[in-house]
Amino acid sequence: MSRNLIAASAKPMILSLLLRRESYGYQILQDVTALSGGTIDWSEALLYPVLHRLEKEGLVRSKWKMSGENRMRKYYALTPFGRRELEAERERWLSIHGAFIKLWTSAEETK
Amino acid sequence: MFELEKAILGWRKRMRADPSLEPGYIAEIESHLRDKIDDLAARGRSPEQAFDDAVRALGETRVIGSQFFKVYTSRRSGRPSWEPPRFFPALAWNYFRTATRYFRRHKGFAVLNIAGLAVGMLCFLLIMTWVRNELSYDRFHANLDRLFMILSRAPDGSTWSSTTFALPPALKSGYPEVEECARVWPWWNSLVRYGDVRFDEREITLTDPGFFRMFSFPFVRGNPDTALAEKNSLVLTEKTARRYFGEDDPLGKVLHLDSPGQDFTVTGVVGNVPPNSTLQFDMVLRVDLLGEERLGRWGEFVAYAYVQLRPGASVEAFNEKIKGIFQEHMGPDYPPKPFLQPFSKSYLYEDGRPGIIVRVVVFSAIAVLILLMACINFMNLSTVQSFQRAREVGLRKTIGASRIQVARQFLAEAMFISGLSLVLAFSIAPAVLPAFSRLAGKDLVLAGPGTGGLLIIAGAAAAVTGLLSGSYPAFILSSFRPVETLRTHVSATSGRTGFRKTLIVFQFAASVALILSSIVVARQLRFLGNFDLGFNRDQVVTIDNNLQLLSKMDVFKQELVGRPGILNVTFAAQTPLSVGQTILVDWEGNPDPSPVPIGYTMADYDFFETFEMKMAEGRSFSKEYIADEKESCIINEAAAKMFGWDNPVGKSLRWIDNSIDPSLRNVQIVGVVKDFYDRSLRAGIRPFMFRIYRPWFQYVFIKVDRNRIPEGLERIRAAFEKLAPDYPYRYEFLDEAFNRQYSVESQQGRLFNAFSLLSVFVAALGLFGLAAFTAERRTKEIGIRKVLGASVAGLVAMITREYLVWVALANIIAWPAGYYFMTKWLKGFIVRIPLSVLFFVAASAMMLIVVLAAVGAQTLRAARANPVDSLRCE
Repeated sequence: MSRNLIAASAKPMILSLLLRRESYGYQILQDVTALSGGTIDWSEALLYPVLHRLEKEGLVRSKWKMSGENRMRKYYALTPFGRRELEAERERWLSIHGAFIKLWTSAEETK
Repeated sequence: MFELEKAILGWRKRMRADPSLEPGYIAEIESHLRDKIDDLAARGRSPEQAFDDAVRALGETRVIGSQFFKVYTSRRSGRPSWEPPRFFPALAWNYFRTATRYFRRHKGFAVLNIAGLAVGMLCFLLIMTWVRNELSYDRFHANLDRLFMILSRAPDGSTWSSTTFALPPALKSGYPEVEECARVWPWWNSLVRYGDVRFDEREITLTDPGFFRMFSFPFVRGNPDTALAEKNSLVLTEKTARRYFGEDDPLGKVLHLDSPGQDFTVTGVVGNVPPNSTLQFDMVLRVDLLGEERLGRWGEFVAYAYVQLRPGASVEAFNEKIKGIFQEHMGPDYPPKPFLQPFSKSYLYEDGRPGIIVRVVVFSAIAVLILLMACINFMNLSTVQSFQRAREVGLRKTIGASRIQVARQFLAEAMFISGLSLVLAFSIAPAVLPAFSRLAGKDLVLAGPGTGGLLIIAGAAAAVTGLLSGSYPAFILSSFRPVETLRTHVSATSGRTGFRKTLIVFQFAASVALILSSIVVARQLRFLGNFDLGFNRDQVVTIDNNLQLLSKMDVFKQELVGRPGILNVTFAAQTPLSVGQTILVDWEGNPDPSPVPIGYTMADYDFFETFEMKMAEGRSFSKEYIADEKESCIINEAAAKMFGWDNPVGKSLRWIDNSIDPSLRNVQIVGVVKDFYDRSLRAGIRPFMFRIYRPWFQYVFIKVDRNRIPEGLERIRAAFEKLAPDYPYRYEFLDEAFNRQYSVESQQGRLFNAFSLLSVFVAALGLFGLAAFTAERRTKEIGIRKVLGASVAGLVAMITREYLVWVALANIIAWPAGYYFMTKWLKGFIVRIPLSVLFFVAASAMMLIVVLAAVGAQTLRAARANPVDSLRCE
């Protein structure tokens, strides 16, 4: 997958994951890998600058928590503003998706 | 034993070294790292392996740091303040100052460098001007991409530029792809009258009405679409119009042409034809003048013809469609096939084969070669001098400059010098251009329409030159280690001489090859000039025949023959230097099922005597035989061989040409003339025949007495003026015309000489600088040697020996290369000189002399110096 596509999809992907539950970096990475069946491969450490950028933009907020294994983890959660942004992102991606579906089904028919 | 906590501690330390990473970020990533290690360990990896894999998966610290920095910074560049910027604008002035300071201290070096590059660029510029001129031919036609010339191809694959009169109209009417067609036929020169004003016009072209719709000759008066609508319309150029009408409006005026003896009405005036047009004319008439019968001929290949295809039509498909068209009209055995060639190629390609384009490529290559040699000079001089700037580099590096920065500095310096040289070259060029134009036989301009292109080419050349010549010195200079340069007096150049020597050897090799080529070219041209063509062209005066003279040929001959100073008089349709017509003949016992083409021309009595052509058998034309004017012909030996006759005299031939009078179609051979070269020496000997047909005689040839030339000329003039009073008297010696025929070759030769000389000069310049430097560097060595008793001669020999090895090496490269290219060039000629070893030796000897002169002077000075001076100082 191209770097551009990964970069563009990272934001809605992270926001969507956080919509389900609050999460920390390592878990987000594993969720993404599991969701995509391994086809989406993020370079690990670069997830953190992205998370920090989202926080700076006010889409998510973070909190250090002690986890079950007695390890400090930084958890990220969606803010109300992040929810709205995700809604907008969702619409953008769905419209692109819809356009592709139309294109490709009509292409199938003309075949 | 691996300890995970210790390893993580070490990792954390490394992360902290990056100023972009705050402890909080690292803690977050650390928790990630630990999770990952746990996972990997759960999958059975050893702790050490798990740690290594997890760290590797995280990626480079620097990349992570810069990404984090970008999130929080307000800087637009996203570059942390502690990272070095790509360019220090503050240092630009310092770079400039150190560079100029250095040049001021080493004036000789700077002058040599800039002058060398400037000469290289000047050559490049001049050659490019010439190349652009050659490539500019015929580019001004708006429909250029749809214009084509009709060529013909023989079954043996040979191609030629003319076609028959009947073909182009048939193409236009029979094929929808063809939008327009125009036959172009040079009319004989004619006396043109307008009232009392008369001029002998030589550039009269006959063509079809489509001509001005196809070709973009801008009309000053009249309309290109309708200019040639009437049979008696005439279009002339502005310059010609002014000759007859002055400032009056030429439209509607009537001109009388003595040949063909008709009146023509001016229907259009076009701007003067630019010199870079292959179609040249002063007057244009309708081709219909030649008569319907002649224009309907399918078998006479004489006319140049052009077609314009409709937009989108495919030439390949069209060529495929028309390839059988001659056979449709002339029967299945008729050999030629027509095909279209883009009109844009007609100047650079001759008869469908590469012509001038070869010269364009060769000279472009020479231009690049000379520029390359200038670059090499620059590279060598800069690297050799580089140690003088080692301290500067050392200091810069100590203060914190990176290698890239230093390299960039010197690269920029080289670019600056190359830019300066370009400016210099541009300012010298206008002064040299007139001389160069004369040399090239062309009117070349540096500035003019399309100069932008030249500027771009030159700018690009300067940039490439700067990059090329600056990269190696920059590479060397930036590699200096500061400690060494500051601690000791380094001679950083030792040990890196291999590359430099390779460059010099290449330079010498190129020079030797160029010298060799110019020697061979000059020798071959001289050989051609003295070659026995099988006829004697010396002291033969040529006059253009005209209508008045044509009717009084015999009187004219009587006026002259037997008078003092005149040896012989004859007439012919063409000059023996270029007889181009071809006709198909058939004969008893022709092994070929189809008629065979043979060269022919019409010549009068005394033709062979005038040109001192020897008869091998039989006799030449004679008035004693009444039949000679009707049915006798004389062939050459090559023709006799082609016909397969040992005894050709008395045998008969048939002309296969329905257009000529049936009574003239059968000819009988009365003589065989020895073979001669009827065309340029590139073409060779071909089967040929002569017969008498007086109405076509276009030229008069008069052999004059070598010792009484002025007297003979005076007598010819008197006879001409008496018999053809309306025509201006103009004559030319045939050998002058002959020399003109080879003017392209001799031009090429002159240009070649000039540029090989320049290349040698550039190479010598570089060598001179290098030798000066070496001599200076070795002054102490020379001093010591002298003190110990070495002689001046011995010292000079010692130093020059090194250079001689290079010259020897260069020859080893240059000889085979020169041999290869010169054999190839000579193959273009039917007669040629052998490639003598002497040429090679001479070229090498010349190079040797140049090298010795450049090196010797410097070395001699160093060797002569008093050893006390060189050993005392410092």
